[in-house]
Amino acid sequence: MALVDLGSLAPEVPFTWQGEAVTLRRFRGAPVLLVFLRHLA
Amino acid sequence: MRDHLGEREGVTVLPVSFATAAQVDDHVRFFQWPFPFAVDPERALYRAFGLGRASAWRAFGPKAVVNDLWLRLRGRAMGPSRQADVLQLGGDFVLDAGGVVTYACRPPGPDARPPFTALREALRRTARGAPGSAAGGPQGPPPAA
Repeated sequence: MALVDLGSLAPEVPFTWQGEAVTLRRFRGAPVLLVFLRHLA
Repeated sequence: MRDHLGEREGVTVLPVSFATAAQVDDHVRFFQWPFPFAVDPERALYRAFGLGRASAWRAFGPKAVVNDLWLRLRGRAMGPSRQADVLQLGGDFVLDAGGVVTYACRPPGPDARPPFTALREALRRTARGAPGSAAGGPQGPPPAA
């Protein structure tokens, strides 16, 4: 797979984390494992 | 899981849900999960990472039914709320410290996720600065531009 730079993928996509609106830029500086869940059950 | 995947070594494990904040809070309290979730009810992150929806056959076909029964027989606890969209697919991605995706797994159906060992290895390779750890899982379609 070609590596994808989030600078062109999802740099400013907002979501809520610990009650705050953030983007993935918030987590730069260390490796991140994103686990996208299916529905909660 | 977070400890095993290396959070103690500076890796951030970030679960993402498309449920509402209230639904996620209910589940966090019910299961006493000790970690914060990313809440993405608009599914903007899901779209950005190319995560689509399963076909009804994949979601409700024999394989999915057997898998669900197996989990229930093993005592899987059910949470307090139900979401209507059971077709939304999940996925797993590793980003390096600069935000570059070094591992991507977009399973084609709800009953397929990468093995724990694949995620752990991808994180280790990424932490060492070795790119190209994406070979371990099904890739699915590329993310939306």
